[in-house]
Amino acid sequence: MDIIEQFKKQLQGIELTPETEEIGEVIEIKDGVVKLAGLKNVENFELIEFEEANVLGLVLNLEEYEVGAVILGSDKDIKEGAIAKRTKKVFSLPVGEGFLGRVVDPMGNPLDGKGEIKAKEYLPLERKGPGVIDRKRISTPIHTGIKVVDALIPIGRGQRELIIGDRGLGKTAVAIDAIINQKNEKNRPYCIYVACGQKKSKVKRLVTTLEKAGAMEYTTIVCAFPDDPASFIYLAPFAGVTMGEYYRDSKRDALVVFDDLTKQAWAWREISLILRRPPGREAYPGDVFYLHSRLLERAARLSDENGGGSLTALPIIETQAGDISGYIPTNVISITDGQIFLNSTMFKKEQKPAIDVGTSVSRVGSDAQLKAMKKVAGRLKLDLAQFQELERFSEFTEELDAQTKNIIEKGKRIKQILRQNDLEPYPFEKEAIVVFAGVHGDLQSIPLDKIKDFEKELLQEMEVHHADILAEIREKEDFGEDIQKKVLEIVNNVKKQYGSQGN
Amino acid sequence: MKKDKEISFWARAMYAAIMENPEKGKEILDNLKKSLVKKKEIVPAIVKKFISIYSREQKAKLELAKDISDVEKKSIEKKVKTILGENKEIEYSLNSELLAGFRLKTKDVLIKASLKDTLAGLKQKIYGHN
Repeated sequence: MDIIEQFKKQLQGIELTPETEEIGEVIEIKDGVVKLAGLKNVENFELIEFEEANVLGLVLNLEEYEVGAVILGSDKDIKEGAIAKRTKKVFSLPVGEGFLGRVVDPMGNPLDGKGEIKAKEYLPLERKGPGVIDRKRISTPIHTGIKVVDALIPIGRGQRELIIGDRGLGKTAVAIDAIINQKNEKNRPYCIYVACGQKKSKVKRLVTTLEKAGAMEYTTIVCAFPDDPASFIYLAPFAGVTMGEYYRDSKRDALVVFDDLTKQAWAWREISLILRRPPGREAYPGDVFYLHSRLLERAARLSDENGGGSLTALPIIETQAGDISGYIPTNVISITDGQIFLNSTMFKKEQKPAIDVGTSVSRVGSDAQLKAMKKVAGRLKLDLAQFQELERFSEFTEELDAQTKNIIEKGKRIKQILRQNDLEPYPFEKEAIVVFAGVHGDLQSIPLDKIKDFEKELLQEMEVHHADILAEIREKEDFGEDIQKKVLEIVNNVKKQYGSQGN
Repeated sequence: MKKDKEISFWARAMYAAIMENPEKGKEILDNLKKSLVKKKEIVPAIVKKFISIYSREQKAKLELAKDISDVEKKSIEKKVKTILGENKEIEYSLNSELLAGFRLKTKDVLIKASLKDTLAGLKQKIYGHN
């Protein structure tokens, strides 16, 4: 069949009648926000198309005579009097497995030069979170590979755990460790990292890190850079959560990191002020709480009737000079199910990750811990609390009784053992062994500066000579008495290399 | 920003008043001037805004591929009234790029009935876009 015949066949049955389009006219444009006259029947959150500029817009304001919209792209070709037409579609995003290993913008367009992404499914960007009946109690952990988090501030699948702290304290590192650690997990969740207003160099570094760790194969990165329009920064977290919902709703687990929501709040403030919405506290619009609550309410663990999938959210918030009582931090703290607080004083004292156990909390608690971790970490919080209290007291006195000295020495060693380098997440069974050694191993006989060597030696010993114990913990997810006895014996043997007589 | 809003409100009010009583246009303008004695400087801006609102709301733009007779224009005006349900002042203009037919644009509606638009629609359909 020649090409003419093919065209004829294609064109058969096509009716060409005059088209009637609902349109509006640009009357004002500034900083990526347009005001339009017309668009009589347009809906809120509907996409509009600026035909001549080949750019889309998103309707956000419906006023008596005007419509306000943000431009999703460059505004340089949109002039006063330009025509915008209705698409009669709400903003939907392509989703699916095709996005794994890819870096995309909030519209789902690839930024990594690896070619077009084919998606069969589209999901609306704005959706309501699942209702109470559709949810299930959070009971399965999502291990971050960070000892102090998994032992003391456990995160469950479907939980929203805020990571909060000043700049440069390792908030992103905590989230990245969590993503990398999923590589070893059973029922590995799909990960989405939303770089919201992050520098391009930082994103590049992050992609390289994830690629090196082999974590990109199950991760999607959604980027809105500082030089993108404010609308992109505002939409990026919604794009990330929509991508995560695809996995949640198809009976799988997903983890989404929003890095960071402070910048999204700034972008929303900018858009709202240009749209002339009334400014409130710190010039944020009145709905800045709703901005974050409707985003984070979409993280959930679904009931078995709904497939049992989950979407865990790790939002990040940057504080100024450690002040968590700011407007946005308090908002997000009240929305989430707990927070991991990074403390600059601890960071300066080389305690890394600089997680302040006193201020950090997980409201899901030990429900999101495996039996094994519950058993080994039970006494850890108490020991640390006692230590912190006595440590402050010991600063004022030199004469301490033996028991107090013992508690302080033990606490110092536990703090040492909870130290961990960036990008070195521990598998769950190793975390259990190390925490068990710290709490029950009586490490006071080992010099403080040798604790990290001891930890390394202990894990090496376990891997080389007692791999069966590691496998058993991993398989049974328990740390029974027989295992405890065996591990204690190994701990005592390793301790001997550090001058200890053993117990 | 506050001034812009004020100008916009006055222009809207003037437009609504004139639409209700078109014969009292001069009177309405005089009243406006009286009301804004202390803000005389914004009157020209209000009038300018009023004109832009009026032309947006009350005028329709008809782009034609080639010139047409007065009889044809009358028939188009009649058709426009039946489609849009209101009397619109029609501004005619020629655009040879349309090849044939016309484009009619009001504030809210764009009717594409030109050969150029038909061909563009055909192209989209061949590509499989809706």
